[in-house]
Amino acid sequence: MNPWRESRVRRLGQRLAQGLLDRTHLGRDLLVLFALTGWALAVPHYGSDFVVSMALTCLMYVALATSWALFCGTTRYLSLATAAFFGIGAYTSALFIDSLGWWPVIAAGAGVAALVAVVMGSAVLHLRGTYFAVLTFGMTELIRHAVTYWEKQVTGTVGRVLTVVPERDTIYLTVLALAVLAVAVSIVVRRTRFGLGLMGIGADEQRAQTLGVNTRLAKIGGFALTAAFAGAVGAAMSVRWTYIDPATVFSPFIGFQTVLIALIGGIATLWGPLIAAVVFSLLAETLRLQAPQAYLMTLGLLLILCVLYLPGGLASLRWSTFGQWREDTRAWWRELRRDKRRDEARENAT
Amino acid sequence: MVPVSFAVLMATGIAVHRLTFRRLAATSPNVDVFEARGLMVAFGLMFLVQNFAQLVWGADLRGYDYLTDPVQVAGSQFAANKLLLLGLSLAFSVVLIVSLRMTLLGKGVRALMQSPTGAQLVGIDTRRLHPLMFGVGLGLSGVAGCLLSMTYTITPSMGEPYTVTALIVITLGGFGSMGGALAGGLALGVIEAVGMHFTNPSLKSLLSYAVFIGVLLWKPNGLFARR
Repeated sequence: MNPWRESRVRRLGQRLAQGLLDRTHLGRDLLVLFALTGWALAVPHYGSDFVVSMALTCLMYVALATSWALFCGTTRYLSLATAAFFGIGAYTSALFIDSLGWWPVIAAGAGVAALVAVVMGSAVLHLRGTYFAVLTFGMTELIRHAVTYWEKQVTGTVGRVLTVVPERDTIYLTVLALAVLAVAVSIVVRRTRFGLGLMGIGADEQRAQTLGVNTRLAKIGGFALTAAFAGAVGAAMSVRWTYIDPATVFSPFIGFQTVLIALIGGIATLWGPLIAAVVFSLLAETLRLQAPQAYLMTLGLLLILCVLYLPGGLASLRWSTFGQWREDTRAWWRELRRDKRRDEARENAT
Repeated sequence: MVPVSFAVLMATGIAVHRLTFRRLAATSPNVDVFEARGLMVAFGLMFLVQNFAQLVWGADLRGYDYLTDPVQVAGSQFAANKLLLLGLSLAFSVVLIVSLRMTLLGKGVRALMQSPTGAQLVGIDTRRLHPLMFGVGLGLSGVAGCLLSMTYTITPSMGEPYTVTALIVITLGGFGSMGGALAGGLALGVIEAVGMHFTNPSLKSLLSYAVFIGVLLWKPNGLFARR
């Protein structure tokens, strides 16, 4: 490598590190978060019931996707276990809401989910790639079937109806608080040693280990943090739904949709999951009423297109991306024409 | 109908490979990223196809009768179509394994699994072989679907449990090992059936997931992996 280039690379690295620890970006991020929070706080005062419930769905996915990206986006461990933590939170809330208060129940949901994540994480976090994804999916299904079995055998019913339900605005504010907390935590964590360690694991795990990151602890901690958010959101949402059964709260769809939103938004970015969560919840609510299959088909198609043409996610979309696409398409055309010409030449020769 | 479904799905497979996986392989920096992205694309395809089927044919249960008369074999009664199913699926597995072991084409495929670059270096046309193998894989799953429709009712979402079962079986046998997958599949079926007999039918899926997770934790490379 020539010296000029080396110094350029080093300067780039320094700028990147500064950007991460930069106060100006911190200020900007916090300001945007503050503005969004203020706007979301105002929604119940002027919106109709429908608008509020739509905003609630948006916030739920914002919290889930942001907290998912916090761990899985930085470390590139693809976890499909969000549904498990969500369901655990929901069941904790269903079981204890009568005896505990509202806030303790949310905390309990987060706590139980984090506990399960620590146990699960210490068992499976040494596996990478597809194994990790498949194993977390298997664990989710195992937990779902175990809960179904337990409900059938011990309590005799499969579903639960929640009778003590707080007001709509309380639930809305709780979920809003969780979403804001998730974004705030990921703003802060990105700038701490812990967050940089997670990012190092994503770039090259062995190197991070050599440079003194306790990868095992960092991974389990990150996984538990994600799980705690999912559990808290589950605890809050189960009260909103008022009727829960294992098939709905442990639905793998919750996990998939979270992953999808984060992927489409851009897993390594801060605002990508948030933007995608809002776009998707709105799209879901409008399309689901008219054509449920069309909604899921759009989802599948978008996922494929996003993975193929926009691996960095929506948040990585810049003006230059369009130029890149145009270049790609032109190169493809040229290749096609060249192939055709070559075939023709071959035919003429024979 | 079996050859027709094989051909149709093989064509679909080659088309899908050309549209998505070729670009995916070209743009992914390493195998890990390729696997993760491939998984996501596959799930996207699942959503797409499943809901397309639901839109076109509706979500009703369907089925037909074919060879449902019972047959006596060694003192026990079996439905004829289930015996046919067993025979045909065994035959297909054996043909696949033998052709992978014995023929030149199979040798090329195994080389491709070991090292794509190396295979290209010794003169294997990977750009043609890879889509072909993808097509054969999808074609075989088409055959499986065709055989299953003889004995079970069909719905657009019937594939999901089988996807999970297939993943379990493959990880049980170890990725890329044919004999391992065959043995793993048979073992999983036997464990499920015996376990259900001794405990409780509603424990069936619990049991298969427990076996899966246990095996992965105990031997992450699969039961029959050679090192």
